[in-house]
Amino acid sequence: MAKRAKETGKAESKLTDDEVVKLALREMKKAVPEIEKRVLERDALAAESRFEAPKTADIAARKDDD
Amino acid sequence: MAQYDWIDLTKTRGYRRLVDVLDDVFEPQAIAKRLSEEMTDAVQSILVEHGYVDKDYRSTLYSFYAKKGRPYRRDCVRLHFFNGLVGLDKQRTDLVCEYGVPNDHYYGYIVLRPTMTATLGRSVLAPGIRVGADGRAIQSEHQVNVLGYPLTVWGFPSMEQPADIAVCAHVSCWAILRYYSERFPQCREYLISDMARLASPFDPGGLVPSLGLTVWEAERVFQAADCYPLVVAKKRIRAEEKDVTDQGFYEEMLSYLESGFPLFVEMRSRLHAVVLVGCQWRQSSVAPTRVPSHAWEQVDSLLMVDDNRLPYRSVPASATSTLAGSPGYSGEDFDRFIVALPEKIHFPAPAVDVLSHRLARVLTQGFGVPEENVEIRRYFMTTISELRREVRKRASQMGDALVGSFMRLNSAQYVWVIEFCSQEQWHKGNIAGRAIVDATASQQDPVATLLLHSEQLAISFDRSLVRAQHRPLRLRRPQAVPLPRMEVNLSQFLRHDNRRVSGENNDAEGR
Repeated sequence: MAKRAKETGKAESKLTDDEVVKLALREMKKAVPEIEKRVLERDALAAESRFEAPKTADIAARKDDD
Repeated sequence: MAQYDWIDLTKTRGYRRLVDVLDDVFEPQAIAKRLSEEMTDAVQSILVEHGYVDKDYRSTLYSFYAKKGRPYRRDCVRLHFFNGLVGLDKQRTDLVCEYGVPNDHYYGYIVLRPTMTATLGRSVLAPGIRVGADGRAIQSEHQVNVLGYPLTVWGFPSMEQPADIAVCAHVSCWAILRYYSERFPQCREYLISDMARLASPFDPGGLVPSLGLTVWEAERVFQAADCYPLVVAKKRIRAEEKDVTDQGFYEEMLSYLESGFPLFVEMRSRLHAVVLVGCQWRQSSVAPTRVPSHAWEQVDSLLMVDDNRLPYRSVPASATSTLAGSPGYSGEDFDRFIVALPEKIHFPAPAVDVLSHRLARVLTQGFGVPEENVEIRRYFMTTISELRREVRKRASQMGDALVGSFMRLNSAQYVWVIEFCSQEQWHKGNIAGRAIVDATASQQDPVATLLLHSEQLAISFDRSLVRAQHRPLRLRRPQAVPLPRMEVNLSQFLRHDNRRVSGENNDAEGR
């Protein structure tokens, strides 16, 4: 089935509709702890940079570019 | 007193004729040089409006310049840009053009401040008249009243930093907030002099603003302006990992940009802040470097509102961009960005990224979508009403059953749209599947997804009950009709250009 799907480029599933729904719910549930981990990681990067706070006052950038 | 001059740029001296009609306090020579370098030939005439009262300049005059020993003028000059099909009848003080609709020939305006240096003030220009600008940009409609004509221009607000009372970071905050106030009626308008005040819990006086802002003070500006800013930082890469990049940072940046939020971007190496307002896809799609990949790999250049230049400066997105090697900075120089979100966004871009990987598995293993058709992911936020407008516009391609699923969604105001496609589908502007996710969902919500569909099957998730029946729906769409990619928040702009240009330095000689 998967081979045929690859050949035709069209979607063909061997699961019943109810099985597809169950698979979707299972995968979405698995995402929850991964989401928590990823969001905390990204937030930690911002928090770490809190004390690296150069002032942005670039008056000379245009000269650098020319 | 308000007075008007007309400059025909097709005649000798072009922009240098500004020197004849403007006082030296407006820096006419420097302005003429900048305009001739950075505007395309589509601009063929300028209406010079003397004695213009500019609210942003006046705000700095009252709070800053009026306290100085040197006297500063109260009035500004506004330059209005037109194509060559309109003129000024001085006798009747009227704009004349065929069919009597000057708005059809209008490209926007620039205010010049009487400050002797850094005179380029509040501007709204159509992106198509900027040399080198290309792609899609966040824009809003701005109303302009001149000579009794209500004119309109679509663009993004910008100005050069006054340098003493506001620097690049203040100007970047102001540009984003002015876009919000023009675009969304619920957002109030802030003037440039408000930026320094909002950045600090006390009155910062006249000197401190000139020293600049930290990214956290910029965050405070957005908080004080009733937005909900999120600071996103790029991972610091160690010296031994110099070929590694924090892809997640750029993917998050693109997702918020494509959601229609202009981004305040900090570049530590340049001590500079700019606004990211648009991007251009690569002319030819590139093969994903990993699977599943992200649409960021398909971005060629980024459109910046940089106070050191006229707006819509095009910079390379990465080292593989077609613009790579051009002078100036690139996306690789970005270190942090601030996205000023509405209150009701609870599901951030990294959560969508994780979910998209899981949903790609559902599409391949459950819906039977071939693996190569989910190799590129793209996600952005929009409102449910904007989403439904887009669906209605493309109803014939989507099919009745799928359109019905979108119209019946029980959704909050903001949703994330996740799209999956192959490289070939990307090139053709098509997709293999799409998910709609509630942007107000809790990150712990096991069913944040509202709808998941491929070309032939859709599942609408009923989130009203914990043990709800989620109903699959066979879409019965014609096999030969592909699903279209949605591009809703950034507008593709037309280049107004009477000649070929290739880069910033290809300016009009003799203009």
